[in-house]
Amino acid sequence: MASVELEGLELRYPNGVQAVRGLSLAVADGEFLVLLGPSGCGKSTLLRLVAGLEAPDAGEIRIGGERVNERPPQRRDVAMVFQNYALYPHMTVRANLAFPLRMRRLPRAQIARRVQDTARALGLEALLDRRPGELSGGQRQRVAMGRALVREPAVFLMDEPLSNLDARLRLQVRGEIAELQRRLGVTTLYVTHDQVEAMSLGQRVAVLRAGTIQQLGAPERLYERPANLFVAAFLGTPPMNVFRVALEGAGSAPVLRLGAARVPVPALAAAPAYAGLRPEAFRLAARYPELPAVEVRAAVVERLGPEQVVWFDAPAAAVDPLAAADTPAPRMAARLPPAPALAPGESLDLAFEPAAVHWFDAGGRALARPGT
Amino acid sequence: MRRTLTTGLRHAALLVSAAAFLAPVAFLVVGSFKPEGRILADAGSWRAFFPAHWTLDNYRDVFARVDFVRFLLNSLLINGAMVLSGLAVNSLAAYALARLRWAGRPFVLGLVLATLVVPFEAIAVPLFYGLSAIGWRDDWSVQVVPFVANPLSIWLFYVFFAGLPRELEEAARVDGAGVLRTFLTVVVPNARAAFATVAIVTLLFYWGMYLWPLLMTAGPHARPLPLAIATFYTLPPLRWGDILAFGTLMVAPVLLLFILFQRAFVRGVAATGIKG
Amino acid sequence: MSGAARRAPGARREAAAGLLFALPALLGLALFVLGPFLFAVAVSFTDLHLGSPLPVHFVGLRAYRRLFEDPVFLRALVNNAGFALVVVPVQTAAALALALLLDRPSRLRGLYRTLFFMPVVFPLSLVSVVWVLLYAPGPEGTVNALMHWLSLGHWRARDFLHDPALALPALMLTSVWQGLGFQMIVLLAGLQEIPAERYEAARVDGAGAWARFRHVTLPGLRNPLVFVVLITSVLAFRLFDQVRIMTHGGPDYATTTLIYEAVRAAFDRGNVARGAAISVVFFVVVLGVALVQRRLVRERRELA
Repeated sequence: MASVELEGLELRYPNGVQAVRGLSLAVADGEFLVLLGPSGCGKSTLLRLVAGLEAPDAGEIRIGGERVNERPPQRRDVAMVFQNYALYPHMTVRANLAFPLRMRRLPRAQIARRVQDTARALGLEALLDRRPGELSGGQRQRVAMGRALVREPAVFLMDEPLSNLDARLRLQVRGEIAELQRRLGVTTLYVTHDQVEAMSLGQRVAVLRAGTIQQLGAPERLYERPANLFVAAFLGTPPMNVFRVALEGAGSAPVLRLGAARVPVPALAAAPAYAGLRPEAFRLAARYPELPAVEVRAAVVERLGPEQVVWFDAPAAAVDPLAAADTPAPRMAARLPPAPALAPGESLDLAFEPAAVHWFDAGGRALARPGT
Repeated sequence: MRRTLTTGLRHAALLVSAAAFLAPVAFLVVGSFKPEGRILADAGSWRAFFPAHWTLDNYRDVFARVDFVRFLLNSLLINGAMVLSGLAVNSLAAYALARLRWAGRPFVLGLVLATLVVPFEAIAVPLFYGLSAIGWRDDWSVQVVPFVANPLSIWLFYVFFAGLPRELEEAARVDGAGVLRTFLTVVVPNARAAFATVAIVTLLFYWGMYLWPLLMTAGPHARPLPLAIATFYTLPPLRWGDILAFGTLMVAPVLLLFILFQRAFVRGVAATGIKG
Repeated sequence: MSGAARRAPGARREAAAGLLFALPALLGLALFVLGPFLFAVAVSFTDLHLGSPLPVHFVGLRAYRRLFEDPVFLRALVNNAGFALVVVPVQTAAALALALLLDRPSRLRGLYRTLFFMPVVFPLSLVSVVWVLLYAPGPEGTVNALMHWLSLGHWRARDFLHDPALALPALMLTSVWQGLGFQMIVLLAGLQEIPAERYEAARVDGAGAWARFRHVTLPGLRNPLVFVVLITSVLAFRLFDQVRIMTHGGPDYATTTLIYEAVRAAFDRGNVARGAAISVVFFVVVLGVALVQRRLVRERRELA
């Protein structure tokens, strides 16, 4: 068991892509930390840096307080689960599990015992003499986990370990991983692009974009207090509705305008340029007459069972924060209770709590709401 | 109707071609069992391919006239050493080129690509001068060492290694294996097809080599089979039966090998053609 | 991947391992391919005589000038070129024809493939000796008898290997017999890489057998075909074993070749410069053929 500290890491690939820039991160001993981000954000590279499969151009990597930059992978005491599992196809499951122990020259009897224990813990006992080619996807995934676990490593690295499983199995294995990690208490770095995986597994989640950490914190904190537009938009489906804040009247205080609704801008650290509303912040105005409301026309209605998602033409200058600067977003979304059922073309009044509005400055940074 | 006709024509064409390809081989094998007097006499008729009288005299003659076993052992030693050392040397080099980061990599890769187009015949005579000057000739090692490093073998291995998923080796590194260990325990077992291809292609291209032993050997003691059949042919008296027996004896093991590992041969040749 | 700022973990070990792994092959290629070639180029510009006590002089292109004034050498070049001009198209077409005949599932395919490929595992020296016998002069010689039968009795028995007009063609036939199977296997593998849907699409689009061959098979076979043409051309210029065993370059230099002349020079110990110069000329010819092939393949890729 060990903590992992990354300090000022830089990595530029020979093709000029800056995969990691000035990145620092501390993972506590025993913590489960998820690296979340879109593809190409540098999250897998970060994992490979910790494993020793890549070398940083600058910065320091410490495991258990010791600098490991110069150590090759085999001398870092980390175990890794690869996206495609990377099981050795010419070896049986038993030999795959034994391989890392053989490399450490453990006595035979001890290897056999630990392989047996790991196999039992993961329900692999019946498969020990099969080769990876004879296993199902779920079984292979389990062997890959076993090969990492059997070493009792100081740090556990997982690179999208669930992405090759079908939806059902993913749900099941996700639960198993969470339980396993809680039981063993191994420091774990887990890479994924799936926000549900990140939110459900991570004690803390680091959201990455373009090689930098956008925000680091507990999952619910990221959702409720996104540090910037990127995090706000990346977490949540459908994503947060973001639109420009308009100034109304010369010299007067800025006002948020959404269709006919007017919301005075509260006292903030700086002038807001963007405002955001999560789709679930909307409700049907009929039941909340005291709230500001906006009349919209439903364009698409997705009936999802426990809720319905209504897409409507944006009544304000909406933007897509995940795209390049200020790309207009034609539609906004609202998540509403399943009843009353709405139909496309129907017009409806949507109300929202002024306190639910997220405020961002011109650079996309979140502005603290009054009272928080 | 039309379909049966074309199918019939196709089979006829195949049959005639097969006969043309088989005839010289049959001529060789059948002739080796004929009495000397019948060989030329039968050569112009169907009897060339069907012996009326079987005899083993020619085979007895071969062993009486020359040291066939020595030639066979020479060939086995030369080709065995060439293939085995070639597999080791070229696979290691290809792995270094395909996967490892080191300073001379682009230079060596360039050298391999440049030498890939140089046929041995362009080198044979200058190399003959050079090796003669230092007095290295007329033994089995001079027929092996110059052929161990082989650009085609390196290239075939290189293409194969470059196509292997990297994750496997990375997993081995994380699991605690060093570079050589990773190569031996993870890469080699998954590259058996490449090793078979390279072994077969090496054998196919080099076992019949005639020019080099002709230049480099003087007496019979280091003479391999392909040169031995040619010198046997010029050894008076000219007895065709003996020559055909010698020829049959020398190709029999290779033909057997070919028939046993036919698929691997075909795969090897196809790989050379498609990746070469 | 290198760079002063960047030190991969274990980079020094990896760099050492890389060099160490490649070292034996590097030494081999340098000593036995690059070295002799550079030696040949250098020596071809001198008057070096093995065993001669005289000092060595740089004599420029003298060896090359002598070569290109030598009718025997020029004859060798012509022979090689003629051999290539006949054997390359004939052998490629025949190999393609056989490959096409075999490119459909059949129980006998494996057997045929084995038969056609069998001569490839025969050493050329053995093939040459056997064909000397097949070309036996007189009406009882196998090839003579076959020609007699095919021509319905009009063929007069000839001494192929001693006839200036027939000796080179006789070597060609022998070479085609021995080498055809190799090309056939390469082309058959190429044919099997062409997806069946492409033929089906052409059929649906109304293409007949010829159109399918012309617009699906040939374009799909482009690279294997270029490869086959390349190695057959190079093979034509490497021609040696058959010449040395079957005709000794005769009659009257009708079958002498570049390599045959190079080896003659090698055995004539004084003529180091000539042997070296022929090797260089041979190399240049082969390089030219290879460059043409590269060009052909690249152009295709640009078009695609």
